[in-house]
Amino acid sequence: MASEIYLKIEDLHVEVEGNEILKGVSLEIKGGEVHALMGPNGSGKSTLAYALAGHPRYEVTSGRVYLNGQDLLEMEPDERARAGLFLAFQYPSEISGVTVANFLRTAINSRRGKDNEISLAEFGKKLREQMERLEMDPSFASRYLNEGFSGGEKKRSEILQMAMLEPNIAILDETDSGLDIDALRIVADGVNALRGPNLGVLCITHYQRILRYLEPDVVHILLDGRIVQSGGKELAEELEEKGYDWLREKIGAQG
Amino acid sequence: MSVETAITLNARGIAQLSERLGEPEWMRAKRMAAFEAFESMTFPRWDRTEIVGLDLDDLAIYREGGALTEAELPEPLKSIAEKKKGQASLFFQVDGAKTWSSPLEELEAKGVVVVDFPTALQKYGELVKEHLMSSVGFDEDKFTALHYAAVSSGWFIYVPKEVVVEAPIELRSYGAAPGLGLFSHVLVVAERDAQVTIVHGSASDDGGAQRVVADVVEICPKDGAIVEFNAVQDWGRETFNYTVRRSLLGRDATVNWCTGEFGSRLSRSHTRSILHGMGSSSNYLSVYFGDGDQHLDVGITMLHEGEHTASDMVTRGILDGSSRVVYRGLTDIENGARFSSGFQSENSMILSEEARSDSIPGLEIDETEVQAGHAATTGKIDPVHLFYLMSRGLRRQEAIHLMVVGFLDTVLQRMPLESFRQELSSLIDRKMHG
Repeated sequence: MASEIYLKIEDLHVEVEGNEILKGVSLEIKGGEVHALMGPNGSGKSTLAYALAGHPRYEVTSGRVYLNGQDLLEMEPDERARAGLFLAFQYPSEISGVTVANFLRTAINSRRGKDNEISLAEFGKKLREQMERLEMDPSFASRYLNEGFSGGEKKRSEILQMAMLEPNIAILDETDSGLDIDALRIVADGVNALRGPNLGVLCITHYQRILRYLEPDVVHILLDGRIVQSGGKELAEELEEKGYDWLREKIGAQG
Repeated sequence: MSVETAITLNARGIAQLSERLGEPEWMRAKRMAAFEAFESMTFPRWDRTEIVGLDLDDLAIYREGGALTEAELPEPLKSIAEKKKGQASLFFQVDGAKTWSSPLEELEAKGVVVVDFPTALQKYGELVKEHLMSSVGFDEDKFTALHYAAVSSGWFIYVPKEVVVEAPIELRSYGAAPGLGLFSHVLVVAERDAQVTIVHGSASDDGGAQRVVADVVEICPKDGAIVEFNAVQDWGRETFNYTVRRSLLGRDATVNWCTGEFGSRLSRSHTRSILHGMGSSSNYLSVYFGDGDQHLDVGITMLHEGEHTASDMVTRGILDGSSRVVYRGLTDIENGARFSSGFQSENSMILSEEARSDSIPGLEIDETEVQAGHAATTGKIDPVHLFYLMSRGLRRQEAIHLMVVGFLDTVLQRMPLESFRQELSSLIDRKMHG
C-alpha cells in the first residue's frame, strides 16, 4: 500500500479573485517523505494549501493534482479529506458549541462510513493517547473547537486532528508560526511521531526553525508563484543564512 | 368518539360545556363573559404576524373523555411514559378530556396537588378562583377570550409552603382527534418558599385537519418560591397555536422559563414575567426551529416593577425552508424598580435563502439606577467554518448539522433539567433530518 501513497501536482495554476497567484507549480510527495515548502510572504504558499484542500475562493485555472491515483481537483473538499488529504490550517475556525471530542468522532466516522463507526471505547483511548503525546490537558476534549484557544493550543489542536484522522498526505500551513520554542517542539514531535510509510507531509513555512525538528527530505523554494529551487535540507539552512534576497538575485542572475 | 358528543363553539355549546364540567357558578359567569368578549372582538392585528387561514366556525371544542390505560396512550406519550415512569410525576391529557397519570408518592406525602382543570374547579374552587386570571385576563384579545370561554383541560398545581418537590411534574397535552380545538389552562400556585420543577409538553397529530389551540399558563410564585417551568411545543403542522404564559412574582420569588418552539403552522407564543415583588428574578432560555412554511411568533417580556429585580433572556433559533420567525424580546423596567438589571440576547441562524427572521429586541427603561443591555444577531452558516469542517471529511449536511447543534447547544447547556435538554436535542435532530 505504501508505494501507492503520493500527492502529485502538475503545473498547477491558481487564481484568487482574478489574480494569478500560482503560476505553474509541480511537486510530488510520496508516502514516508517530508517536504518543506519555503517562501516569503505573498509567494503563494498558503494559496497552494487552500487550493489543494478545495477552498472555493481559490480557482484552479489549469494543471492536475493526483492523490493516490485519484483526480483530486474533481473532488469536493470533504471528499478530498476522506480520500486521505489533511490540511492543518494556519488560522483554524472557532466552532461554538461543538466539542473537540464530538467533532473528531464525527469526522472519523464520516471517513469510516456507515455501520463501521469507531466504538466509543476505541475512540476515547485513541484520543487520550494522542492528547497525551501532544501534552494537552484532558479537559481539552470537552472544550468547544478552537473557541478561546490560544495560538499554541490551536496549532496543537490541528496536529491532534491530524493524528486522529490518519491522513495519507498532510499539509501543514505555517503550523510553526506564532509558537514559542516549547510549543514548537511539541508540535514537531507530534508530527514526527506520525511519520511512516503511510504518510507524506508538506510542511509550509516561512522559517527554517521547525525544519530542525522535522528534518525534511526535500526543500522547495516558492517565489512569485513558482518553485524556483529544490534541494536537500541544507537548502533551508542556506536560505536562512542568506535570506530571500540572495535567492532572488541568484534566480535573477540565472534568468 | 361519535360526532354527537362534540361540543361546538357557540353560546349553546359554551353553556353545555359549563354544565358538563359541573363547574361552580362563578366560573360559569366568567366563561359566559369571556364568550361575549370573544364574540364582540375582532382578530387582533399583530405587527408582522398575520392571521391567515383560520376558521373558527363550528369549531369542535370538547369531546367526552375518561381515564386511559397506558396501552391506550398515543405512541409519543407511551414512549415518554415508559422512559420516565418512576422518575417524574406524569400527567397526560389526550384530546383534553382523556387522562392518564402516574404520580410519584412524594406528591401525596408532601400535600402537593396536581389535578386536571375541571376537577380543580370542583374540588379546589376557592384556590382556583383566587388565582385564575391573576395575570392573564379574559378580555386581552379575542384568543384569551376564546381560551376562557372554551377552557376544559389543563392542570392545577398547588405546592404548599416550604415544600420542595424533588422530581419534575410532567404535564403532557396531546391532540389526536382531527379538528378538535384544545383549550388548556395550567395554573400553578407555589406558596411561600416552595420549589417545583414542571415540564409542560404540547404536541399533536393533526391528521390533515386544522387544529386551533388557545392555551394559558399562569404561574403564581409567592414570596421566596422557585418555579422552574420547561415548556416545549411540537404541535402538528396544521395547528394554529396561541399560547400565553405569564407569571406574577412575589417577593424574592424566582421563575425560570426554558422553552422550545418547534411545531405548528402558525404559532404565537408569548411569555411574560411580572417582577412585582422586591428581589424577584426570572431567566428565560429558549430555542426555536422553524422550517417548511411555518410562522413562529415568539415573544418574551420581562416587566420589572419591584426594586432589586433581575432578569436575563437568552434565545437562539434556526430558520430553514421558507419559514418566518418574529422574535420580540422586551426588557421593561418601570419607574421605581431601582437597582434592577435586565439583559437579553437573541441569535438566529438562517439555513436557506427563503427563510426570514425578524428580531425585535426592546429596552424600555423608566428608572436611572439600573443595569440593562441587549444584543441580537442574525447570520447564515459561515462559509469559512463550513469549509473548515468539510476539510476534515464531514459532508456538507453533516457539517451544517454539527454547527446548528453547536449553535443551539450553548443555550441548551444552560437548561438545568437534563431530560428536557435531551428532548429538545432530539427534536432538533429530527428537524435537521427533515
